[in-house]
Amino acid sequence: MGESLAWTLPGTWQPDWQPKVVRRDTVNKTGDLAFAELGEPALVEACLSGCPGAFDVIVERHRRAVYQLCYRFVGNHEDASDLSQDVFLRAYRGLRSFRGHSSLATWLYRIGVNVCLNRVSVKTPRTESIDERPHVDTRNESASDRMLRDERAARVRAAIADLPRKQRATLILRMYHEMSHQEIADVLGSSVGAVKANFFHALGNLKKLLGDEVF
Amino acid sequence: MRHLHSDELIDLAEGTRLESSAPHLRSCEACRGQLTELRAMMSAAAQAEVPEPSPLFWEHFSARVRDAVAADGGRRRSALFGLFGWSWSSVLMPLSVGGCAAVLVAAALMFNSRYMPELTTPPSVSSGPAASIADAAPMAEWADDPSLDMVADLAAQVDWEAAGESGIGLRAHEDVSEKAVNQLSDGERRELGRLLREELSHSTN
Repeated sequence: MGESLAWTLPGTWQPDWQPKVVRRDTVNKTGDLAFAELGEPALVEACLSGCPGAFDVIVERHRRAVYQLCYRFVGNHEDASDLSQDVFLRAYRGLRSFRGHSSLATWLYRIGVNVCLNRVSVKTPRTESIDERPHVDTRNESASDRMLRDERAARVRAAIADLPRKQRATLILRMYHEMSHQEIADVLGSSVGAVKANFFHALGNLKKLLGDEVF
Repeated sequence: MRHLHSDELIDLAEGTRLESSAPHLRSCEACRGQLTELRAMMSAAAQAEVPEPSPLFWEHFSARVRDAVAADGGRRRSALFGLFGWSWSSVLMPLSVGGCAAVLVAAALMFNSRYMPELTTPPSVSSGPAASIADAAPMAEWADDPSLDMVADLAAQVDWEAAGESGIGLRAHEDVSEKAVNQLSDGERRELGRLLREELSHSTN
């Protein structure tokens, strides 16, 4: 198309610049560049330089994982939602201290663990209600099987929420967020040996709390 | 006989270490039992998924975070000024008023030095009509001076009542104005008085 339009009348003036075409889908409603395409360092940089849409993208990318982390600590939707919001608020305040040595997810988990441990230490986690149990695709499952599975899951979550703080944090980060022992040690400020010992005791205590009811 | 340590059992349960590398397992039923329990608990824990909230929740959540971040930014700015017992309005208003007053005085002084050097000594009565016309010429030039128009505009935009209520800046600049006025000659004071009266009559009309 550019070639077909590149005709000129003899003697007419030719501009020495080329028109710059900006794809409509790379610009969002506020006119900012599409942050969704940026990598983590660029997103953080954009946040620090005052682009309001950049932090929205960080929230959007990590909100589910942060919410799940908080949910496993407190065992209910309402508190998990409040805690997740607190995690992102603290992350925003401390974004300047993010050095990029770990991934943004690991950094957010570290904040999340601290927020949850501080909250849990002053407030006993409450058990989720029956309405809060997971809604999953159950089309190939009988009603009784589904109910049984939901009950088991709820018991396991309640048992995890009753574990001692460091054991709970270790088990959650290892089992559900696939963090390495070293990453967990960094988050909790302990050693790899201590993380493995905590994980071992967490699983042992989980067995004691659940008894034979989940088998 | 040494039983397997907790970190060795964890490595075996997670599969990062092969059972063949722990010959003790073959001969120790207790350690085998522990390993089996660890694996069973890991399996049970893995199946305990977190309930997925409604899709609407995520949009609502993002909006909540956005609002919280915005509110936090505002609070932090207020807290910074709160350390000194200030607020934007109480700081900026007197500053702007004081600034306008200072500009007015400076403009009057500049006007005197540029256009009325002879006023440092009072004009003689015997200078006659010609002298009066010569004195009036700079006034016409002053009337067209855009910088003084700007000063007049700035003064017109000042909320003098609010400035008086806030108090701080005006008092500080009254002193400055007094000092400046005290350094004027009688003729300069008369001219400044005339200018101020003229400005006041404009603002009241």
